[in-house]
Amino acid sequence: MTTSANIHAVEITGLSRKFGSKLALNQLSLQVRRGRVFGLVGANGAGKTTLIQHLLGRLKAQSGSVRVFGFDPVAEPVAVLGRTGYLSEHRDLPGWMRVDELLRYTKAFYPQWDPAYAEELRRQFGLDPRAKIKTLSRGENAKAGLLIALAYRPELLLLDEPSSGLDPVVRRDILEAIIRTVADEGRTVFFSSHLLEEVERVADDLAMMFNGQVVLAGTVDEVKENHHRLVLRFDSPQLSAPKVQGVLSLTGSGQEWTAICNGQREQAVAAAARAGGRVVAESSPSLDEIFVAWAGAESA
Amino acid sequence: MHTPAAALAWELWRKHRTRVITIAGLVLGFALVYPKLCALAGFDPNNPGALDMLAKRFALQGDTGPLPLRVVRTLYLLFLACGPASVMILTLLYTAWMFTFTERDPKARDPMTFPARLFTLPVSTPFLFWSLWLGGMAAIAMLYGSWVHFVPLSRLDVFVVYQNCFGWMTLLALGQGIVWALAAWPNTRTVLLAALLFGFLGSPARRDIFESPLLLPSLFVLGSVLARVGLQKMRHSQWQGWTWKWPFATISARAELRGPKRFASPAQAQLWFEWRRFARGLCFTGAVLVGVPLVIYLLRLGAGFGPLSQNTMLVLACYLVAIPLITHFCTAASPPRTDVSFLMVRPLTNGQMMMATLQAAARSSLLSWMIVAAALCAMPLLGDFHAVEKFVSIPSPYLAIIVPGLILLTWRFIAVNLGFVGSGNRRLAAIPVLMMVAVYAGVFALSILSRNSAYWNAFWRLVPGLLAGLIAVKFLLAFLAFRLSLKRGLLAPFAVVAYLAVWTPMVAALLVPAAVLLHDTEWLLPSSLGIVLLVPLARIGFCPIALAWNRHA
Repeated sequence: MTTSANIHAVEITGLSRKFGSKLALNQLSLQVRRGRVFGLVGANGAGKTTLIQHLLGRLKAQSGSVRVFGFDPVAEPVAVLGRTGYLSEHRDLPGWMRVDELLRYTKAFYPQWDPAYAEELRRQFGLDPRAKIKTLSRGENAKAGLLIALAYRPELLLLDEPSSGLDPVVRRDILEAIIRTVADEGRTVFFSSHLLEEVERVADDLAMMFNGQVVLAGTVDEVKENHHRLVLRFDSPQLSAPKVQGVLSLTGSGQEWTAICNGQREQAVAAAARAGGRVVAESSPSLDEIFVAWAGAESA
Repeated sequence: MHTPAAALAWELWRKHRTRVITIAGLVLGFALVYPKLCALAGFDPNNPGALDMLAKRFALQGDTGPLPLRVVRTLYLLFLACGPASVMILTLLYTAWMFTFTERDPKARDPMTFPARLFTLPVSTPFLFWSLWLGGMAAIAMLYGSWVHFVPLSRLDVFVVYQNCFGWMTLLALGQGIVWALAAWPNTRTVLLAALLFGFLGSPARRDIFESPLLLPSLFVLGSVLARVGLQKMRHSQWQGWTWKWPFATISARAELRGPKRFASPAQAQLWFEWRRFARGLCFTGAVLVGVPLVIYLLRLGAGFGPLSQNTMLVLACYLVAIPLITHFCTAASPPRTDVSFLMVRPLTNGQMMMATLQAAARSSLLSWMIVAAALCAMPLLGDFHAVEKFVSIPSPYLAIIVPGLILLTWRFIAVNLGFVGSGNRRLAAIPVLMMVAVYAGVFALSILSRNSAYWNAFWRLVPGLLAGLIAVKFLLAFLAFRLSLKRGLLAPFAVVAYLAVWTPMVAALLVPAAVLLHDTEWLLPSSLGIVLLVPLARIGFCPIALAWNRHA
């Protein structure tokens, strides 16, 4: 029988979370399909880490529900954490352990631990087994965290800002390759990132978060197809951004302005015409442009 | 803030303003109130014979009137004699520490780190040094001057040595020198700071040394030079700690590499984690604290200084016995753990985490006491141990209850505080210290009470009922806590059964010898009830719940 838990690795419904008077997550709903690479992007303080902490059961939902493989991570932490690999943004590994001890210790919790794979990753990352964690650089610390998150081939890999601290070579050639491999094996990857090019290259699906809410979700291709970049020319120079209904953002100066619109292209073109502008060029925007447009629209 | 010096001064003020205001309030309070209190009591703090006068007042007032009044009188006289000078010492010590400009570094777990961010500011090292050095000297001089001029400090011999402004300035210079020059050697720094503090606080005992005309100026110059050079070296990371490794560290690392390649279960791995995280360090610290004086005294003996005196033997024995208790208490009362996030994402139940900590604590308690026992066995080499035995005069059968009782107490420090520390709440984590203060206050109150037989007898009659009531509350809380933990799945039923299976023999192991030894005394009932009360149960039940607060905030 096909149930939602068989299709979705993560299901979040109406999740809200407050820290004091600050609303960190606001009625957030999200689904992540199994076997997909899901990228979560958002501005600083948008609630990405808070969301990931809920998936791990480190935070208890104040309202709404969180299910990982159909389990509540707070009520059944062992069932969830036993199938989840996690790389923390803070790289909070115990400094007193050596790398080999960290591997031996972590191995004990996961029957599916693959020693050969762990050793392969350790060599690939260039980690000295005798080195103490506290003597590792930030990048090496990230690699050690990634190693123990990957070596038991978890069904769900949660990566909180995985690129943070990694050099471009490791980021492009190793991290992205690993993420793709994990997804090709039918497992799910959920990662948050500031690097939109990385998300564009690696993710199948993405969600954009602003002020504790998901404002945009879908496959990367859908998101890009649904947004349009229109270059508008006005008859006379515009001193400030003209008011064009239906566009997310309008940037430029003088007679030429660039608009990013979400979906309804025709309405945006008509609105531009009413404001005295005409479309002189049209292209597909990058994720970066879409993100900036949404960020501007949300803060307006 | 228009200048870097003003910015530094503002930072100091911002970090310490509550305490600075408190210090100012204390000086003002004592200046206004203390002379009036002295006049009321007829106490002249400027009289060099104040100590004699105090002793006479104790003798005259100590044994008249009802007990509470006598206690208040005694405390009042003590306050008049020691209050302002003690508070002056504390405030000057705090000011000296303030100008070392250190702060806690949670990542390095170092409570005394000079903030590296100051070195990224566009100011020279001499500027930093002179700002903090001169600022500190001025603050010490101002505070000292305020105390001396506005508050009539007691002229008791024990405090006279502290009434020396240059002495305090030397303390500041040495403090800055040690903290800044030894930043790369945190352990050496801590030992030297402790030596400096104890040396300074113990200075009344050797006034002849401290009044030598050369000592303080030499120390002042030494501290200042060390501080200046140390700050420079710290800025450019030129002194980077020991480059050699302890041979035993290499040996133990090799031995561990040869250790088990695989843990049999997550519980075993977690036990290893807890053992490595705190328990092994406790045993090691205990062994060092036990070993160092023994070795020193053995060397002294070897150098022909003769056996230790009875007093020294007695003090040494007390010191050895106190070590496991103090080290375990300090660990139990340490700040909340910093590795919680790493642990909480392991597929372990809260109960499994708790059990691993309890087991590791049990191992460290047992091992620490074995080390102490070995040291006590070695004591006859140093002097006449029979004299100590005679002085302490504990009949051998009582050791059957005292020894397991001490081991239990050592373990209990960590076991009962696990929930407070594990909750991740800083305020809750401070409860163990408050409880220890409450225990001391209770013991003090009992000792006062015991001086009046009428009060003591009345209290003694109440004790069994009081203890029985507390036991009833304990069992009720334990039942509720375990039920809640089980209901929430924080604890496996097996873990509850396992703990109860440990709790019962633990209680029996203490109850049986107590019953045998005290069967015909009035102590039997209260001791038995006390044992049941002391072996932790309810707080063990609440521990997984406290961990859950931390785990699922």
